[in-house]
Amino acid sequence: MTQSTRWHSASPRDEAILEPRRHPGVDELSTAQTLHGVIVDRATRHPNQLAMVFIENSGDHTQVSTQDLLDGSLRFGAALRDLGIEDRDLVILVMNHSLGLVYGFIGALMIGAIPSIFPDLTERLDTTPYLGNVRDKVARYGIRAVITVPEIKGELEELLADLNCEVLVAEEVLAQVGKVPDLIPVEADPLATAFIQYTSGTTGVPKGIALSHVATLNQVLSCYHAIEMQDDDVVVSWLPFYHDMGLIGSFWLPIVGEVPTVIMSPFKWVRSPKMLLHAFTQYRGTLCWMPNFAYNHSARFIRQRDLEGVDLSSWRLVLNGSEPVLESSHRIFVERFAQYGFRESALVTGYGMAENVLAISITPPHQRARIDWVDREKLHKERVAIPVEPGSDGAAEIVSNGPPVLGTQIRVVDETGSDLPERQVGQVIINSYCLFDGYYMQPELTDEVFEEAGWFRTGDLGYFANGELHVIGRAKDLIIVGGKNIQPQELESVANEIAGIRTDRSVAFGILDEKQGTDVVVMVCEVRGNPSDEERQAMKTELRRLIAERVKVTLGDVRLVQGRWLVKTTSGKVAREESRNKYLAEFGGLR
Amino acid sequence: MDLTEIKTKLKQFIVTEIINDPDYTIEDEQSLIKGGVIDSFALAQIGVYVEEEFGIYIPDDDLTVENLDTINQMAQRVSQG
Repeated sequence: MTQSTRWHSASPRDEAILEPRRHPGVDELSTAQTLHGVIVDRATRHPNQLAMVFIENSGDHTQVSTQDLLDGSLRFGAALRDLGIEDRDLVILVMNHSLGLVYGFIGALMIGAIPSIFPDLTERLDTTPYLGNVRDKVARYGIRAVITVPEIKGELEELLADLNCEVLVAEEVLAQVGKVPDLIPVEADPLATAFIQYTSGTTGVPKGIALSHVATLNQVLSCYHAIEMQDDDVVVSWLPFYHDMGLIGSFWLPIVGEVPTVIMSPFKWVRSPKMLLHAFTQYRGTLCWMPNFAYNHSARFIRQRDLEGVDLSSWRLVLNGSEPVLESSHRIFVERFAQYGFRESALVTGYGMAENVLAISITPPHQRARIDWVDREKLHKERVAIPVEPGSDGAAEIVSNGPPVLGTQIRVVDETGSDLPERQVGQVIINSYCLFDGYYMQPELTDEVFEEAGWFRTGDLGYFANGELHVIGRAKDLIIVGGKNIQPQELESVANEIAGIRTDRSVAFGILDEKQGTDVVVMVCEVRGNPSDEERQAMKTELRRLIAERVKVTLGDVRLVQGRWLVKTTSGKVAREESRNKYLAEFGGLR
Repeated sequence: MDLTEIKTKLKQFIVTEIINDPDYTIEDEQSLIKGGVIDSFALAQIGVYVEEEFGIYIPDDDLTVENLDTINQMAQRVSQG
């Protein structure tokens, strides 16, 4: 297929070609220059090494050797090839968290196709809008194959009948026995786009983040270095693979680092958070990464009886990333689990985003992430981080996000792009050996986020102190709920569909719920006329339902207001920050 | 404890602790998870609440959308012990 994205070319990633092995102390790892090359190389050198343990929803634990991983992937590669899928074709995986998903992803890489993972179909939702979404994406991007589960095969085939797209059922490939099909993995260009990571976009069109083999391998080695990965490490993870921390951190990092990774379903884990601790106990796990809310979810919702026999003494590092880090979440986690051997020196933090593949900064291992106590008012009003006595009145507790990872540079700049001194708050911009190629088929959007010299504007606000980055807020009104990025525009446009809610008179923003350890989504919507209690109730029910269906998040608070309530800018756009302040002043926050 | 009382307590817990909307009225047969009012994260929370409030332990494997999507289902499960 033709590539219409104008690739960003000024990044130093071009200088990093074929140099990912330059990081000290990691010479013994595979020198393959592509992701699938690492799989082939590892299986050749250590075919019987344990690559992965997959904890199935049934409770069975499937052990996967490096040879199994290679064979499974080759079967998927061959199945895709037999359907006519070729080099540079797009393949999406629309399926549950499973081994087939892993094999399918690597199988696509083996034939030079570009895979991406669609967020899981959750059990609570109607399949129709979800599959409609799949169709839109197939049509928009010219996707050539969908790998899926038997349950939705028929529906998908019907839906995609007029498009040039094949449907492959993972179970049929997994059921193959006997000789592995002959397939010689392609010699891919290490700088070519390897896969696409999707993230939500402001217009409702998801942004496809195109990542090369080299960028991914560079990032993986940066993380390897930052966390001081060792031979006896064991990763344990409940993260979904459509999330960068799951796909890169919990899969590619241990694959390249040649340590086992223990994987479980995120959908099972949310209902049964004890699973993670049981897996740590059973496999003597040492490493884990998760968003902040997961610390609260684990500390609050595991029942005492479910902790019998749990032993966390092998756990040496847990990295808090992908949403703002709260020290209170670290505290309740330690309080609850220290008696089971959990060490507070394991608490590290990081800052990152899929545009840099995963991490931008990580705090040093073997020590609890540092806390910077600063004057809260000066921080927000004067944008300067003035140190104050820990715990004093008006002090804000800012957890460090650490120094840049190897190969990534960070600057904090003002509106004119000039560097700011330590302790001054500005926009965080980065340049690295692992930057993305661009937003897939969205060249204007790509141009918007890059400076001429190749620096990427993260849109986030932060400051440096003691050489470590402290991220204090997200620009562009982004809401992060449980590590999931949500654009307020997506939510507000859904409200327009609810009868009784005035068009373009709704606002969405995040409010921190410290108990949950994450932001919750609040919406304030202006209503027409003077609806009765029953009508209000119906509007709320429909809004909650439609938001959950479309944006896959539940609302933390909904306020229906009368009259002109929203704060708008002079150009008539919703002023979210001001509307949020008005909500806090008028309603006093969450009920 | 009778079913009505269990239902009242469950509803009260959900509107105040989970959806932050005490004015919201939950119907006994309303689909809460499939209807997007609460999500599956809340199931773990409800599991803990039910044990604390009613002394009933629902194993994680039973904390599913199929089992606990409505107030009626939750209350039935609690009253079974």
